[in-house]
Amino acid sequence: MCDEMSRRFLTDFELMVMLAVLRVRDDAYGVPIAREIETIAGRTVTLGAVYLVLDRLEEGGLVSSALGEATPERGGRAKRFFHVTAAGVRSVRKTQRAFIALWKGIPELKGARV
Amino acid sequence: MNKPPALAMAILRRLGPQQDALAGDLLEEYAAGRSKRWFYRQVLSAVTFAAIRDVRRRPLRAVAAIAMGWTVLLLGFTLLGDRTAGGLAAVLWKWDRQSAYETGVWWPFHLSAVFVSYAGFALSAWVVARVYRRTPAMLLAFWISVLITLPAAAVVLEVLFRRWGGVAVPHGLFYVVSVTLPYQWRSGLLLVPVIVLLSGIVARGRLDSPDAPRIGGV
Repeated sequence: MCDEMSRRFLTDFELMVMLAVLRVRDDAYGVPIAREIETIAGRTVTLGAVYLVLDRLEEGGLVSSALGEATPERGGRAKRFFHVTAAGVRSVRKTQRAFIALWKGIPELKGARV
Repeated sequence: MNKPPALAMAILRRLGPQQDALAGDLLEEYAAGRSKRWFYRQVLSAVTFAAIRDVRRRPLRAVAAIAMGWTVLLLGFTLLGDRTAGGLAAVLWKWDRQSAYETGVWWPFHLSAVFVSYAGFALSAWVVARVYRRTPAMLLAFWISVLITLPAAAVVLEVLFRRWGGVAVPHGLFYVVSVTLPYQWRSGLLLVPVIVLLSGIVARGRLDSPDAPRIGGV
């Protein structure tokens, strides 16, 4: 699983989740990650989908996670903080390069505002 | 702290992924002002995604769960269905088969057969949920197979009955078929999935996640 994940490109949602984890940094648990994707990328997501992808990325060695402390406002449940590993950063770069290479040389997309 | 919808929490605990962190995130967001509708949507999405992940990881186990559910169902109906339905009708309405042939009074048996059918579905779902306790997706896979099979059986039987005015149904299938036949199938299609899910949820029980310690949890 680990090798397979590092060989292939990230899907669009995996990439969004990875970028959200990188953006949120030290506070990267489910809620801020989902909010970041919704606010910055404008994509509505469910926490179940975010965790599904995070579990897959963790199995592939692209992110790692650690549990925080349990708090009463979360019904006594701990936060699970995520961190992008070095292999994860490489994977994001690889996917970014592939997208940029595909982007170049398309007349319809030239000069368009992003 | 706002109390989240109890039914949604029960579904999450019993059918959802065994992740305290996800449950905690949902509770945190709900406490911050999210609606009940939002909460239900999140829970159903979490259950669905967990099921998809489990089936992808263990496709053979999903097939085995479906096969086991249907085996229990059909074996139970073949070996016990007729006797149980007849016995139930005899106890409740003093009905007996011999006089039914003469009087044509079959409704006590039919009513008992419907009850036995539903009990059979509940039992098979219970067995699936107990055997595959750690993976709720297997119960959902069985439920989906029931959802697909019953309407399909109903349609096929309707066509066969209309074309030839009758078709020989193997006796063991009678109880499966009885809930799909025209005089019951509308209720069966609604009730069977509900019974399968409820029975499975009860059988599965609450599995505590090994994730983390809890303090004053919901």
